[in-house]
Amino acid sequence: MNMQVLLVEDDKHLQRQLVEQLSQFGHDVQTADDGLSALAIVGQRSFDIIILDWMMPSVDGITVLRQLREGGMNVPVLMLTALGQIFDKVEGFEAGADDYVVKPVDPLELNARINALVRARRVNDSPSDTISAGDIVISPSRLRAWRDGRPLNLSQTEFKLLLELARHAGTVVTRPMLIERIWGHDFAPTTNIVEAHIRHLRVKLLEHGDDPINTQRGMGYSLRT
Amino acid sequence: MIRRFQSLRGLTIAFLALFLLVTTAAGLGTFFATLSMINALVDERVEAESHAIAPIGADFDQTEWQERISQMAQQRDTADLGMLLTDAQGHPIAGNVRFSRPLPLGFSSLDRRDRIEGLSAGRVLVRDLGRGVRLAVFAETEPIDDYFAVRQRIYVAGFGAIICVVLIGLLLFRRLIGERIEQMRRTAESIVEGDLSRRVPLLGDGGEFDQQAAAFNHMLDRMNMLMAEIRNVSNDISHELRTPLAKLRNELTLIERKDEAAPVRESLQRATAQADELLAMFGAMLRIAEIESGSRRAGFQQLDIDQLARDMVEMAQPLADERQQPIILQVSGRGQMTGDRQLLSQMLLNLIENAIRHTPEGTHISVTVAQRADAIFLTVADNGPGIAPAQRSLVMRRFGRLDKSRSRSGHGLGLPLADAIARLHHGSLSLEDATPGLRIVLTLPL
Repeated sequence: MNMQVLLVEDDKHLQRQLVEQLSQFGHDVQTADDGLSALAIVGQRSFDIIILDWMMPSVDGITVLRQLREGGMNVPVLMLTALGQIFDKVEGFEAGADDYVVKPVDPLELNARINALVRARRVNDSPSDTISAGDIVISPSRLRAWRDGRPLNLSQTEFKLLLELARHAGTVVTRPMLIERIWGHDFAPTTNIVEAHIRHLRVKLLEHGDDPINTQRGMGYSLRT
Repeated sequence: MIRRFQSLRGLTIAFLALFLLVTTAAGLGTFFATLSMINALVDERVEAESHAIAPIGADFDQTEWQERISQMAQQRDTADLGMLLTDAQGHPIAGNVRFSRPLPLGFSSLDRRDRIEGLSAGRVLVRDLGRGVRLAVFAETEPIDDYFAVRQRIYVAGFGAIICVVLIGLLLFRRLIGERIEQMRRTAESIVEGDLSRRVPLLGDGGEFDQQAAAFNHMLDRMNMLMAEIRNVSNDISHELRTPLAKLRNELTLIERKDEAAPVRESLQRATAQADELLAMFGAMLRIAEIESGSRRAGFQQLDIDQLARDMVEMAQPLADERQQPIILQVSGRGQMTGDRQLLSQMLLNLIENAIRHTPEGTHISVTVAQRADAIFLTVADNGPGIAPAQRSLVMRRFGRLDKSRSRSGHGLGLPLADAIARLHHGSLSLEDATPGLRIVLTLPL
């Protein structure tokens, strides 16, 4: 997915590195060195996503974010935070952030997350009671899922996994994203627990067809559209 | 015995006992010394007056004695005396008093039982003047009626007041010292628990206690600074190494995606996995540093440890199922406590993952939450090979893995991390023998 990205980062070195990496994934990146110029740029043109550093001199990320939301801009915003700012994360979400990535930034993780954010925004923009990906149909409100018209007998965790994958069908959902969103944890397990859950989900999906989950080694999983 | 008196309480009790003993002895001593002194003075007076009536060696002159007795009974300075002259049969001849009992010769004491009007205590001298005629002269030893009873009360009140003042002073003093020591102890304890910001409060009077507290605080400042330096060094190393390592890892994954990487893809994937392990290790080190700084205590919240244990077992269940390792969960049914949900989850999941990873297939794992009076006990046990007692302290050390060559999985920081999380919650972690197997018990005080 090619996207228009606004990167707001005061650390020149990190900024250059991120521009290079995001460009490798085919994105169009415009940069801003501080909060004020970011607000000015946002007023001139539209972006698919804004990557916003938290800690910046004068106008910090959270202030920029609040001003954007107050101005009615609902563009997805991903915050970059330093390690261990757990309470800040809560503050960030309350201010209207859509996601966050802890530095040092893993570009694959960052790319997966901005893809997921933009896709989720597009999916949410088309209001519908059910979510479908290929021959899989999910009803989040009824906590039920079907494949090829036949009901799937999923555990609660498996249902949440499938729903998360379906919401971002076609893009990679990373393991840290799953840990965060399915279990609500900010730490990585020391074993391949996520893989084990995916294997269980796969077994149930395979009952009614081929394997729709693609494992991206070292990254995560994507569900076929 | 001597050791017992070296404590503040022992010293207080010993001092009080000694003080009471000395005060009582002094009181009684003064009382009785005064009493005998008064008796001696009264004896002297009675004797002198007796001789004034009938001088020693004078002739037997009964009328002369009678005369003198009636004279002295009139005179102002001798009118308070009791005088009685009796014949050989004991019948009174002259005098201003009668006795209800025969009195012995020489000095003796009189009291209320003698039923002499206006007399509660006195001394009497009985002399034989010849031919069976006896002269008894007595005087009161109490200048005022009931003087002794009053004096006893005065003594009790006086010395009692002194004892009370000393007792209160001593208790206040003891409390003052005790409080200062307690403040210092509490400070030291919270330092041990990782709250390095705690200091002993100063009174501001510049006294010895303040000087001691200031010296103690100064030492803590210095310690804190040194520890911060050490922490910063390891934090810096972790941070600084983590960023280039993350870049290296990302480079590897980017190469891995290229078509020309196909022949070496497996090696690249192995290299990526190794980089991931290193990153996880740095992550764990930074996490431990974050926990040990104690900053996360600010985010403690009410949580249900039973539910947390249920969630973690459920999370680990698929992996355990694949290895045929049944997990048996037992919860307390109460389990309300205050803590860091993320950290407690991480710790419990870590311990369960350890049990899954380090034991053979088919091993039984049990997770137990038990609540007793003042603590919650979180236990993760297995019936696997266990850890020899001598090696248990090794695995609690950072990077202290058993059998480093064989077991490559895990970064050797799992138990130190769990230990740091336990300490953050004022608790402790202990490794025990589950006969067979390993049992890890986390004690969380409520």
